[in-house]
Parts: sequence; structure tokens; C-alpha cells
Amino acid sequence: MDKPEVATELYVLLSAVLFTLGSMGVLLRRNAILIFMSIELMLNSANLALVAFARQWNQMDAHLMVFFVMTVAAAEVAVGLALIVTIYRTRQSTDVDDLHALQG
Amino acid sequence: MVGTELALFIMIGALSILAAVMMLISENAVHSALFLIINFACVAFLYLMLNAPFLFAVQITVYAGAIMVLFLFVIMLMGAERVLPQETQRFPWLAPATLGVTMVILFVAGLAIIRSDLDTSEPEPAEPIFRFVHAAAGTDAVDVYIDGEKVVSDLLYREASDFEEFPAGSYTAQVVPHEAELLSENIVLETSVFLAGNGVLSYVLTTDAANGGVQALQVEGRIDPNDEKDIARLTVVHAIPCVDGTVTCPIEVADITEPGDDPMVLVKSLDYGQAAHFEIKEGEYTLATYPQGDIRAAIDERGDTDEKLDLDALVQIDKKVIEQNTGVLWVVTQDTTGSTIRPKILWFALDNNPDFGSAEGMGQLLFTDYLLPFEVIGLLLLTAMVGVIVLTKQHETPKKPRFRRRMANVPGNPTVEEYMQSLRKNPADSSGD
Repeated sequence: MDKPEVATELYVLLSAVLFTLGSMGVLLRRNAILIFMSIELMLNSANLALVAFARQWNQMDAHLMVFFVMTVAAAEVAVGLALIVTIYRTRQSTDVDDLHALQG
Repeated sequence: MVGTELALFIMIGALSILAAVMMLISENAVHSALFLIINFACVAFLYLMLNAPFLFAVQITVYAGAIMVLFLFVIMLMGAERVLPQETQRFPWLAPATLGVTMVILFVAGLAIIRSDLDTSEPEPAEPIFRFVHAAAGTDAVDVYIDGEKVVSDLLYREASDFEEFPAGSYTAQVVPHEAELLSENIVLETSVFLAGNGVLSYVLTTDAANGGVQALQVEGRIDPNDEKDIARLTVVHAIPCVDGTVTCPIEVADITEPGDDPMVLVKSLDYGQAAHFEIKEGEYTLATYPQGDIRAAIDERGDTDEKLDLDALVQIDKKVIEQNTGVLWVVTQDTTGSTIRPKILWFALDNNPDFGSAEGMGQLLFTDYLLPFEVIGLLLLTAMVGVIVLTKQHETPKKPRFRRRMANVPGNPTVEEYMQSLRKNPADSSGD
């Protein structure tokens, strides 16, 4: 197989950058919805790395993994947003710093 | 010189990073969601560049479509689009510490990737696949054992087994009549099978013309991806025993697609039990099989119905669309259902592997190797759905008894409603109950 024009390393590097941005969003933003979006960004960057490796190894199994990750992400978003809506109803806020009811 | 693909990658990658950063720093949650959609679209485009068209479609519809619509819906529903920066940080050291840690992680990961600690060696060749095609006239259904393990059961004459996947190596294949024990006196054919990586092999069982018994012809089916793209491979196997009892009765195969008196002879002399390989362009072909040298009979029969075929002369004409980059196995056998010997041509696709990353390939994997995970994921989605309904259900709080105003200056202190009712019942009695 001839060498692809865009090396797998570049894709993995881009995926690492996106993952870092996503983790920064999770740690720095205090809005629950934005934290969720950042998690989506991280999942997506992992998917990108998986697809890049699938091309590298010529194995389609990674595509299936990406498919499953997408499904899990959809389920996670549905449940997470439901939680946020419920919290918003009681607290009138989506700021995670306000949620310290369990704090000792 | 930067190639088109690399330039595209740099542009799309930069746009996706920019969109991610804008998502992080924008103060409006709706803007964040829109920037995230741009990021998802960029990633979808990268999937397309990585030979994953199915995932491209799923990414656009599920991620950029369904999931982001859900996000936007919740943001709008709660009216929480204004995300004001907090005035008093609870942990003032958090932001610089996070920035530092993530940058260090990114630096280490980037260094590892750039220094090629990544294992990007050539992939292992895929496991070879093989199958058996029964074209030995006069032999009933057979079973095939590989190293004592039954891999093919009840293979009828003129049929092909499914492809089996085995690790590369050398094996011994034994063919016995169907449901016979694997004993030395039962074995019809014992042959060694050599499977190399990435191979697609068909073993065509034919009757050995010279010695009697059954022989196996090995037919290779893999098309080299570096070959010309519009090439298809055609393999013709002669498997009709001679009618007149001679040892060899060679046939000729000609391409008579183009009308004219000068058909293109593909193979001059193909003995019984032999195979011939051709590389041909894709297209619809009309191929004729006929006894060697008897080309006029083949041409005269072109376009006629089956009934007019000269069966004794063994002329067989068949039309077939051969697609590019495929291998076609064309086994010339006879039909044993009737009393007459009727030539019958079997077409088998040699390698029907779907394209890498196509929806067809995904479906094939999903419903074979990944059926159980697929069902588990479906169950998970169902659970999530039920969970969402339970979570967002408005709990019916037990109604507190409503405070009722009572009449202070009426005996018995009835409520206003009770007093009005009693007034309606007997208007004369204004003192109520």
C-alpha cells in the first residue's frame, strides 16, 4: 500500500489538540451545558483518532467502535440534558459551582 | 510543494481547532453550540478524507444534526444562553493550573507523536479466506475437513461453499462423501492447502480425467489494489467430462460480445479439469464455450434461445456484467437434473468483499462479528430513553389543602363556598346551616 498523503500522525496530533481543548473546557467552564459540549468535543477527537488508525491498519473494526461511541454519546447527552433540566427547575441555575448540596 | 490533500487537511484542521477555541471562550451558550456544529462538520469532512463515508454521514446526521439540536433545544428551553463570567472564582488557582497541566499533556503527547513513537508500521495482512466449489460430475454431496475439522458440510454438485477464514499456513484438506466418517477408505481427495496472507482462494473440485477420482484446482481471487482500476479477473474452469470417453476434450472460450465474424478467442485449448485466467475490462460480456476449433457453431448460436443450442457440440453462450475490480469464477459444468447432458455455466464472484468504510461493509460487520455489542447498545439506548422520561417527569406533589375563607359571623363558620351553596338550596333561609 502506498503512503497516504496526509500521515496518520497528523490526524492523531489534531485529535490530541482537540482533546486537550475539550478537557480544558470541562475544567474551566462552570456552565453545565458547556461542560457537556466539551465532553462531546473530547469524544469526537477520540473518534477521529480511531478512524485515522482504521485507515492506517486497514481494519474496519475501528469504524464500528466509532459508531458505538456515537450511540453512547447520544444516550449520554439525552440523560445528561435531562439531568440539567431537572436541576435547572429546582435551582434556576446551570452553574456547577451552585451544586454543592452534598458538601460537608 | 504541498499537495491538495495536505492543504485541505491543514485548512480543515485549523478551522476545527478555531471552532473549538471559539466554543470555549464565547459567552453565549447558543454561539458555543453553533461553533461546536462547525467543529463537528470539520471532523465529518476529515472522516471523508480518511475513507469513512458511512461515518461521515452518521456524523452529520447524528452529531451535527440530532445531538446539537437537542443541545440548542435545552438551551433555548431554559433561556440560559447568557453565560456570565463569574466575578468571584471559588478556586482562583484553578484556571492557571488547568492551563498548565493540559499544555504539558499536549506537549508530551505531541512530542511522542512527532518523534514517531506511534507504531505506524505496515499492517498485518488480513487472514486468508478460501472456499470450495463442487464441480466434479458424478460425485454426490461432499463434506470438507481441514486438519480434521469439518469446515464445509453438504456441498452439492454445482454449488460453492461460503468463504472460510483461517490463519495463514499450510493445511491438509480432506474431502469425504456427505455424512461419511473421516476414515482413510472414505476419503475422496486429500490435498494440501497453502493459505497465504490476504489471499482469496477458491478450490474447485473436478473429476480427475486422467486417473479418475477428484482433483482440486486452486483459483486465486484477490485483485491487487494497485492494479489498473478498470480491470476485472475472469477464471474459466472446464468441468464437463468428455461425452465420447476420450481422456481430453479441450474447449475454446471466446468473447463474442461484438458482432462480427472474428470473435476474440480468449483461450485456445482448455482441457478438462483445467483453469484459465484472463484480465478483462469491465462491461457486459457474451462469452461462448465450444469444442476446440468449432467456432462457427458458437457464432451461429449467438442471440438464440437455449432450445436451439447444440447440446452435443457443447456450445454454451452466457451473458454477464463483469464489474471492475472484481474476480469472476466461471465454471463450465453440466446440468444433471434432466436426462440429457446440458451444459451449465456457473458464475461465482471470487471476492465479494465490500469497499472499505462503506455502509455495506459496516452492515456486514455489524450483523456478523458485532451483533451482540450492537444489541447491547440498543438496550442501552432504550434504558437511556426510559431514564430521561423518569428524570424529567414532573413529580405530582400532594396537593396541600387549600386555605378556605370562613364566614366569621355565620353560626358554624362555614366556608364561603358552602355558605353560597346553602343559599342556593334554600334562598329563604339566609342564616345557612
